[in-house]
Amino acid sequence: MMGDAALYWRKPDNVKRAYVDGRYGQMHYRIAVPPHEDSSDHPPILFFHQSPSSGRPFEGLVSEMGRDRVAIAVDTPGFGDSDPPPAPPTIADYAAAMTSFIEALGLEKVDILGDHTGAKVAVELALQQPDRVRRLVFNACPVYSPEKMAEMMTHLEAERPKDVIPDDGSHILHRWKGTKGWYKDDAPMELYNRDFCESLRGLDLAWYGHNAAFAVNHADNLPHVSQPILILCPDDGLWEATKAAEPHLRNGRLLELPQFGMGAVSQHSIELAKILRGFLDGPADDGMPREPARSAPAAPELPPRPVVRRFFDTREKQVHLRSAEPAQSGRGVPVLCLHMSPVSSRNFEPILERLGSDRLAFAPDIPGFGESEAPSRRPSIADLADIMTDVIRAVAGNGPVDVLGDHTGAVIAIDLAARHPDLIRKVAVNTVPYFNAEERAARLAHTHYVEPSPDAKHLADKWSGMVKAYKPSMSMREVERNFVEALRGGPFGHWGHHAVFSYDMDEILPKVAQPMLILRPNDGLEENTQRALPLIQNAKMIDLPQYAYGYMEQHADEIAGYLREFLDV
Amino acid sequence: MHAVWSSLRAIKRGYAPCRFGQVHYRIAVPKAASRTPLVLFHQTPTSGRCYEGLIAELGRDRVAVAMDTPGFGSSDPPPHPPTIQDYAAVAGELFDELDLGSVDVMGDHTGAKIALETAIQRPDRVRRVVLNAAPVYSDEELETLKRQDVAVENFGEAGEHILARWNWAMKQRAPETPLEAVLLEVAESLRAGANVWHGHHAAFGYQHRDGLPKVMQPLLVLHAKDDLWVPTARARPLISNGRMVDLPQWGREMLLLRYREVAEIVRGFLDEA
Repeated sequence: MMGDAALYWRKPDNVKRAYVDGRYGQMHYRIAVPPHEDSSDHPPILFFHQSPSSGRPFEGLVSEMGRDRVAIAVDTPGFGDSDPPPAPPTIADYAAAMTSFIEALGLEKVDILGDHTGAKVAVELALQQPDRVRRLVFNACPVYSPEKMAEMMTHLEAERPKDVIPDDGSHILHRWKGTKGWYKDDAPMELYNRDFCESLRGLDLAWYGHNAAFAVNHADNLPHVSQPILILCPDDGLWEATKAAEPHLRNGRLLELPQFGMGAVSQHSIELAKILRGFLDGPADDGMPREPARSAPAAPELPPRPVVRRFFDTREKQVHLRSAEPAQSGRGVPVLCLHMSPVSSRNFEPILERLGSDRLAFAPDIPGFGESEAPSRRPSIADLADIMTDVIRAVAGNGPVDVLGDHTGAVIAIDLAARHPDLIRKVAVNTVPYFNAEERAARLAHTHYVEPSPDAKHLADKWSGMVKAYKPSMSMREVERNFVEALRGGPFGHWGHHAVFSYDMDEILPKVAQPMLILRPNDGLEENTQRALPLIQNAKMIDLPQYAYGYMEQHADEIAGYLREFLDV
Repeated sequence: MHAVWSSLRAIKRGYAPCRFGQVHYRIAVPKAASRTPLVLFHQTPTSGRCYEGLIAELGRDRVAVAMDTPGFGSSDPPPHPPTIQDYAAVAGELFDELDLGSVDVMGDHTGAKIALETAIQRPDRVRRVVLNAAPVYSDEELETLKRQDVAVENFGEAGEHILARWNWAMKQRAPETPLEAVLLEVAESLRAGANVWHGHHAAFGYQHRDGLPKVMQPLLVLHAKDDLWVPTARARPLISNGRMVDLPQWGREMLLLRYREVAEIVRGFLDEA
């Protein structure tokens, strides 16, 4: 019995405790540093705990991993000894706090093990700070149906603090009995006792953790993570849900550990350390699917610039514009960004912020989309390109400018470049939406306005169509935002596709003499793009099979890197 | 065809800087402005787009402006759930940015509370006040309303929240309102995204029963037979310097479809000696 007490209650000697200042105040952590820290060629490993708990259950793992690398278990804000956030945080807030922690300790690239809620924080951190995170390990990684997610939110009610604390302490006993069932029958009582005591320390704010965790579904975020992932699947009550995560992994695998239960991070720290080393220190070539061996050029040391919106007059009513530019007048050639239909220039905001740091970057809403009024008659691609010459002259004088076009915007960009070579210096496109006459006729037949009907069929059909196209690569919030933008055109919302499917590229593509960069993601137009290549004089292509709809926003740093490399060399 | 979706030629759009980023507005400027400028605040969660007819009509003899409330339409959102006072402070910044001088204000539902609060915050600037609906609630009613309101919309792949918004708008629709106008309202309403509840949250935190007695300026309350018909009737005794006009023949479609008649009523009040 004393053996268990020492194992779960005594801190190993090589583990030290300390505080740093983080996003919400002081953050508390446990750390082990190898004797010859400088000679360790392994990146530091961070441990994010489940909720409600603290970094304490990781003491054994920190001690063990700390033999050959810096190992740190941090208390999530509001748990253990870390100061709490002032209001119920989101997982994104926790991840931002972890970034402040990483920065405060001066760490560069880290590996992370996230346990339950900690796994959600780790996923979010990998998305927020992709360059800071090298490899990821999750202990349990449940994927639930939307119904189950909603049901869990109702259970959360029970976690909220009660107005009156019963003077017989029955609320503690109630909780003791309620959470005991998560542990295996043969789990040591001292393990449970220790974990239970740590779980109480969040006091009246202890529900913040699950409140944040239950609002995020791994299914939405996992597909966006490109770092190698190892999911540990112990028999901890989340067995089935964690196994459901595997199909959502882009670059990872799942390891079933039926012999481990809740508390395994403490109880089996030696075995887990071996598993971690095998994954973290193994060769990169371990049979997992990888991104193509190509790295984006590093971003320049320039801060992103804010996007400002305005209206101005053109031959076709007011045009709405988003733009960003350097604090001092720009150095590079201005870049015009043309969005896909039926959305708006809103989707370029992250790219504008980045390119705007050393040049004027501007993105109009193409007339009929976003906040730009529809033209008085249904326009052709050439009509839209002509309006864009007004936009260029109003915003960037006589040019020349570079142009970036996305889908419909790519067609307009190609037309602009071919017919106005004096105005356009270089052309970058996201796909070449090349269709032959037969394909165009077939698509044109399905391109029309769907009138509103009282039963909302027009909305339901549009929504499900967008979910189908976007869900594989976007969160539901992103899908919703695109849907809302797609409604902006109202009865004119189909005019963009109508213009594209009425436009013959065979004639125009060979006339583009400017250098062209083609980005080719996995968005259904790969083959169309391929067929267009022989028609283009001066093109180079970057294949991005790991990306689909939304990637220019989700990976704006990387994409801005490719664009800079092409535009500025 | 599609008349509702085509902006009127008389109207221009612009942005002004404000404490929350950029505030978006629609403006109609007559060749010869002879009257005090009017600034209009929309109901939530729609935007100034639903008032283009009214703005164009009133813009024939005065500068008429419709502001998008921060977080709605094209205006940047506040970083926190705002109060009516926050919205009114942005309106004051817009008055200054557009250099409007003395202004009249008009507001619809949530916008009526913004209009009222601007009159209280800026007695030197706001000359006359028009409110469409000024509901006075009991404490019990308020509790119920607040509870309905704070639920943050969750949604799944079926897009239930979008269909719910459509169905709600259809339920409120007058028989003569075209479906395209409903679509426009729904399209505008969805733009606030996850923060769509901010407008009503602010509105339920601000009470006409407290604000109305503080207004010194001449006040006109339009009392249409919409969903606020009953509680607005209770505001009558709180109006010391002004009047309430009963409009039982019109409902929620009034400002969208009857804007010419409404403009005449408003003009009559604003321009009387």
